[in-house]
Amino acid sequence: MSVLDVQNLTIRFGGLVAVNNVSFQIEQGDLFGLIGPNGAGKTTVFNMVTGVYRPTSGSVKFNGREITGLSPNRVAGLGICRTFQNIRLFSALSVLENVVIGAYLRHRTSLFSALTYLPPACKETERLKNEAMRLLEVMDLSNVADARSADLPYGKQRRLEIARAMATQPELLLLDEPAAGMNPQEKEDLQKTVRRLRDEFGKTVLVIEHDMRFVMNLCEKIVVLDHGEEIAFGPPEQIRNDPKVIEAYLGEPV
Amino acid sequence: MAATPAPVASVLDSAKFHAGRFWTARFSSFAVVGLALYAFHNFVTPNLGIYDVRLIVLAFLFGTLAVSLNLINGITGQFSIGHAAFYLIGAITAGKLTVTFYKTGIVQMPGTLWLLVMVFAGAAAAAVAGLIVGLPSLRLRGDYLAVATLGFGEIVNVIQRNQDGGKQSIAGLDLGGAYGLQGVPKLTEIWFVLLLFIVTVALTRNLITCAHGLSFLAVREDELAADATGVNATRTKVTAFILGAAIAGMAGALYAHYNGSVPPDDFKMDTSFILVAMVVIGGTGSITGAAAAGITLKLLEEGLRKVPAIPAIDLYALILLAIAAFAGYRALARRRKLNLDGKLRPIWVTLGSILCVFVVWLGYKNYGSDLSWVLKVAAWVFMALLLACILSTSSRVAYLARFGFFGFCLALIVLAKPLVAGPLRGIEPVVELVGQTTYRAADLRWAIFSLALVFVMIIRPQGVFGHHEFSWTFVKRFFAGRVGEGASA
Amino acid sequence: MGFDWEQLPQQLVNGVQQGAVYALIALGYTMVYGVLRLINFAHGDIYMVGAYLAYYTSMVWFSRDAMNPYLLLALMLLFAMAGCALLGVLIERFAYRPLRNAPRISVLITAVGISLFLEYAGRLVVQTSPQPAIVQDVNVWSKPMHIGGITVQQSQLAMLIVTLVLMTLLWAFVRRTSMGRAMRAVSHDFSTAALMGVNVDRVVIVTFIIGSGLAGAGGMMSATAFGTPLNTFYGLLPGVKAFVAAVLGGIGNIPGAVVGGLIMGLAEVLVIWAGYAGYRDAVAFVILIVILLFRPGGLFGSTVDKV
Repeated sequence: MSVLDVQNLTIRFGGLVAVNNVSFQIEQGDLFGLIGPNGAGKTTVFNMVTGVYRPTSGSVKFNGREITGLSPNRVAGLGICRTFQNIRLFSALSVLENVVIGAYLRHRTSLFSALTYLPPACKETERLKNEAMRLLEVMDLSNVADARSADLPYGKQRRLEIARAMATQPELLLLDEPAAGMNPQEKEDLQKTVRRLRDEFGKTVLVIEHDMRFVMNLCEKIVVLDHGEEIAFGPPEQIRNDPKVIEAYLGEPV
Repeated sequence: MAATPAPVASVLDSAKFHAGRFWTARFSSFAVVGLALYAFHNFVTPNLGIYDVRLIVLAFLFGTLAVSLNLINGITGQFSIGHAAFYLIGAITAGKLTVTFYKTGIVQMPGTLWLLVMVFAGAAAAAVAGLIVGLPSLRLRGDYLAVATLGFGEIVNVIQRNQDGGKQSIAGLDLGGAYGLQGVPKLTEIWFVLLLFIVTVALTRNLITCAHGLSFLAVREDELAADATGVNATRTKVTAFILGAAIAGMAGALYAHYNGSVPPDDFKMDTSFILVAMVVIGGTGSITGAAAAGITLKLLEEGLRKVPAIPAIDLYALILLAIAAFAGYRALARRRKLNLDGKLRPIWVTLGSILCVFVVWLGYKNYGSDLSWVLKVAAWVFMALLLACILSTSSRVAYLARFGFFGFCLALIVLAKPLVAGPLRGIEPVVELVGQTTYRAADLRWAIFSLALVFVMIIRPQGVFGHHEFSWTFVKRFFAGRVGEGASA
Repeated sequence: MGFDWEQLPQQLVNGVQQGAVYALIALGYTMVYGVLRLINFAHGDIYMVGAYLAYYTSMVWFSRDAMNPYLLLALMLLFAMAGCALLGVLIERFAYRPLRNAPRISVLITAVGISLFLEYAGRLVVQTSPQPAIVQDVNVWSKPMHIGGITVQQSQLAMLIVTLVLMTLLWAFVRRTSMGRAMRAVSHDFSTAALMGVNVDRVVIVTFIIGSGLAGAGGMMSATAFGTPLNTFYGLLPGVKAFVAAVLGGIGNIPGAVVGGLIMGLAEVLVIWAGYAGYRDAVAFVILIVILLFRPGGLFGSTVDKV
């Protein structure tokens, strides 16, 4: 049973068909890439998988369970977490607090307990803080744990977003252009980090990216979208030489 | 903005949990509060005049209301400007139940116990209203939500005004109509109001210190990201509305039983706007800020009622002088003739500070006799706190210099007033127009208040405390930032 | 059922008259919101100032007997519109402009502060007793006309005509002139318009001039035609109702504001006609909430909210 099974996913905005009949399956432990020129509909696919948009037709199954049209927080609760193309951190909050909010998903105590500050709430808060600190250490952010997240440099902000996503203990991570705006060294570090997420933590990762080299080096399976439609699928070597892909990115062959 | 990340006064200030320390702290704080309230009730309350009682009750009720509104607006980031509706619903529910059941003797129980029940009744009714208002927040954002809440507030007010048991009432319901519910037994004691305030601040602070509270902040910061991270944004928003409304309902119940009646004029749009102003001036998101602003502004509003009248010509003279002083300051500053940042000689600083004190004393002498001692105490506390804050920062010299200069200007304006007012009286058309008018402070205070409101918003739109709570780190950064570059945070 | 059906056509006409006033105020709200995303709570008080200016023009500054009555009416309109336009510009310059980048709730509070200031400081300035009112005979068009059983006052017709004329002029201005184009650009995307070379400050000033001027016209007309006594809180409730009208029509949408205003006027009058006069003020808010829940973009607005 695939971790993520997308079938005939289609969405229309008014007269515009943004995504047309896209299907792919992601297996446990895959490093999966979703690429395509600008406007191909990649983020829209993410939005449909995570419940931000409701597809016009088609279905999304997570571990065999139908999740089409569920609200984003339910999808997150089931084990799919995403990052955003334009980093969306909780700016006024500190780095640690950002990650704790991710960990909060798996909390148990009630509102009443929090309001009256009973021992279960205290202990749980501390537990979540520790969990968050551990994650920050993994992502090499523990030295800025108390800093305001909006004050961090760009690369650290991206790492923080991934740390926050990891704190929700997802099974499937969706990363939307995680390498955007990074220099080659940072990109290489990011590659290593993402690979660690799979190798050490057993996560399955789906990545949207523009940087071809990044995707070819990192991903083991790649789906290519153009104008909302799927034009190729396969391992990096096959995609690299696929004429339709080359045409989509570079235009008609001379 | 700092180049390296500056530490934030972290919400997660909770210390490591230790059962022994936890329960000792708990019980001792209960004991302290209980003793304090008991002592207050037995030693202070009997000595208070009616006016003093009114000041304290209203100040702390509004402090409570401000904190409850802050939960919705500041902590959860919603835009609710109809908060007086929840206050009203709590007051009217509690009042009506009391008049129907307690006053008529149907239910027999000690007054304070009944009041406690009524407080919860008010909270429940207001909570239902909070749910009703909160649900549309699913679909509405920002300005639209604001206007919807404003509309709700007005609808509630109008409905209440029309329930006089007569033709236009719904099912003949009598809530007192345009004059409001009358004859509510005055069961509220001051200590109850103080207790509600303390409980409200404690509850809110507990919420923020727990991981649970972070979900509210997350919704404020970025709702979409919060949803993606597993926070049920909808449920969080509705919960915030329900909680904020319930607390306001409790305050309303207490007010009804203090005032003896529930006049609809006390719950108009104005009240909602004042509450929002309190939250914004204190700093949206700051419990300390909301509480402090609520208490302070209400004390000011009530206290200023008693200030004596001022002849129109004197007022215009003062305004002209103030404008002249401001313009003069700007001109001098532009030409760099005036450098206030630490380079003044101590003699000027001292002189200026003395002048400041002199002006304050002058005001006290002229107007102080009429003011309630509550206000005097509050004013002294405020000035002492301000002085402590200034002295505890490294840029104290610069600040003392600034206050000294400010005091000098104030003294100049007040002392020069007769010099300007005299000639003004000589100008014919002026005398003809306004010679006889006196402005009563009761009317003036709103004009001044609104102007001050605009002024504060322009200077510091994020409020005094911004997102932060009170802490010495905050004080240092607040004052340090002002003297150096512009303040951030 | 108890409804006085004979009265209905008359009430409909009254509703349209009331609606015309709301429409004029609503236009100002909708324009300012479109350009600045600001709910200008002080707008209703600008309307009040317009009414007072009309009062002063006709009862204090000029001698009624010595002047051609039509000229007096024109002067009243002129003074009201010009005075309010100036007031609007001053408010924008000193209170709203410094807060261009401030959080929205702070700007809202500032608008409330300005509103309160106009009301209370205005009360200090005016301080007349008994309350002033424009005497009926200033309104030379108050003669009634009888059309098919309904009594229509000439002034009601005049108000409607003036409103439609002003609205058409505004519509043409926004659609045809380059300044109008600039206004539309700014209301679509503030920062991009600025980057494209639009003088945003000037656009905002023009918006306030027009919006406040229209409110002033509304103030003059309502004070003259209705003849109700004036106080400085005269504009509070109409201002809020006009805001609802703007939302109803789709905020940012000019014809929408006019349609919304007319609907609001009719709704209010009909509620009174049905016997529930005490609830007339609540009607506005009920409409508001219904509209916000089911079609927040308003009748003519869009419903898309993109991620």
